[in-house]
Amino acid sequence: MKYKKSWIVALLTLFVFVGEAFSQSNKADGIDEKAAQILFENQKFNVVIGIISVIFIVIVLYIVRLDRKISNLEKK
Amino acid sequence: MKNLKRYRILFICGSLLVLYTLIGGLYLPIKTGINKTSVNRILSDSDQHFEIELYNESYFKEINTVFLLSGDRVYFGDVLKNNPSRNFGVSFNVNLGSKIDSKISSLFLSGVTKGGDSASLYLPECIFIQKGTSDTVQNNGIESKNILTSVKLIDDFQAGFPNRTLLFESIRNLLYHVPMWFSMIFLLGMGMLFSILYLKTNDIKWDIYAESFNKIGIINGILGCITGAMWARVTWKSWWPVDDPKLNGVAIGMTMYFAYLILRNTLKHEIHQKARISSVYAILVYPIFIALIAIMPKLAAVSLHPGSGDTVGFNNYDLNNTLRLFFYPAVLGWIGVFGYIAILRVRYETLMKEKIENEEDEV
Repeated sequence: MKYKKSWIVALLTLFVFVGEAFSQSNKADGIDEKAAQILFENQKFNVVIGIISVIFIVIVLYIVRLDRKISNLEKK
Repeated sequence: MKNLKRYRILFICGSLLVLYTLIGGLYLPIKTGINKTSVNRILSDSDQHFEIELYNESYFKEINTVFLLSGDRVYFGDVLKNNPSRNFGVSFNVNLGSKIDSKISSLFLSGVTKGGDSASLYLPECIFIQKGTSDTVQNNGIESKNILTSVKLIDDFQAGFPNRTLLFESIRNLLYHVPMWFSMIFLLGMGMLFSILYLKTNDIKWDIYAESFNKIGIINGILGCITGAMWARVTWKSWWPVDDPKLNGVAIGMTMYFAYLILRNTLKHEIHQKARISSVYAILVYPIFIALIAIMPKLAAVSLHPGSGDTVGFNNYDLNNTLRLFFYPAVLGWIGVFGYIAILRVRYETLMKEKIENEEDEV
């Protein structure tokens, strides 16, 4: 339980830290919310999302399958 | 291998790095650039108007200069609206003169950024200047060397990922597609080392390690192929351009590793024979695979992949410091994550081996 909590705290800290750091740099460069709008208008951004999705789906499915197999063997 | 906890640090560090590259890689914008022009051909010796589409134009306060660069000549045009909006018009009246024929040109835009710097945008070889029938005037632009020395491209001022023609937003894939191959090379390399260790010690433990690392390396390779095909579809307009030597090398290399899996499956019942033959095979295949994906493409005459054949390496042109800030952690992060999955696979294979041994003892 303690281990899980520290893991969540580490994730949240990283989110806040990276998010804040880059939102500052964007403001300094004069890149505003419009950029995000343009980002999604540009079709080539979709392929980035597609690629990330493929990688994560494959990894998650593989790990879940492997974990199930290991658990079954450990029980036996 | 009984204690998996000590390997968990590998997974935690890898996951944190992957998360960092995921957030940063999706959140940070690419630099201001010219998306496209409304025409790709203008006539000389007559007024020609066309529109330019900018990307992230809000970085600029005003755009005041536009010119076409062709060979050693520069042709200035007029900006029809100084205050930059996403689309704005320009006009040109180019004279090529009687001795010069039609030619291709690159577009330059210069202006003042909100920070007060003077910066330029550049779209290479986008406008073809076609010679008009009445173009006999001798006024053939200005010599480019006087102009280009004062041009400072936006890359020197603005933070963000590089804005490159063809790639545009998809340049972010460098952080997700390319690390798959780095991770694959690392895991298959480890697989080869474990195969050497098996042949040296005759300990079946090292064969289990070699098999697991090779299998996860192959999964990495499959992921690299899928993600690469998706990226190729939007940039090269083909899922698998057949004339690219790197892709062909990958196809042959992956087939060789699939043969490794088939080989192991055919020798199921003789554990040490299977281990010996597949170890020798893995040791032979790895250097050939590296030669096919890394060395042969460099020797080819033509290639689509950067850094192979006649193309410039990504490192020289497209990989700026902002991208490096995420690219190297991405490589380390994915190696950590897939390395841990390989360790999990070792655990599974070890348990399987114990189970089979127990069953044999019972019989």
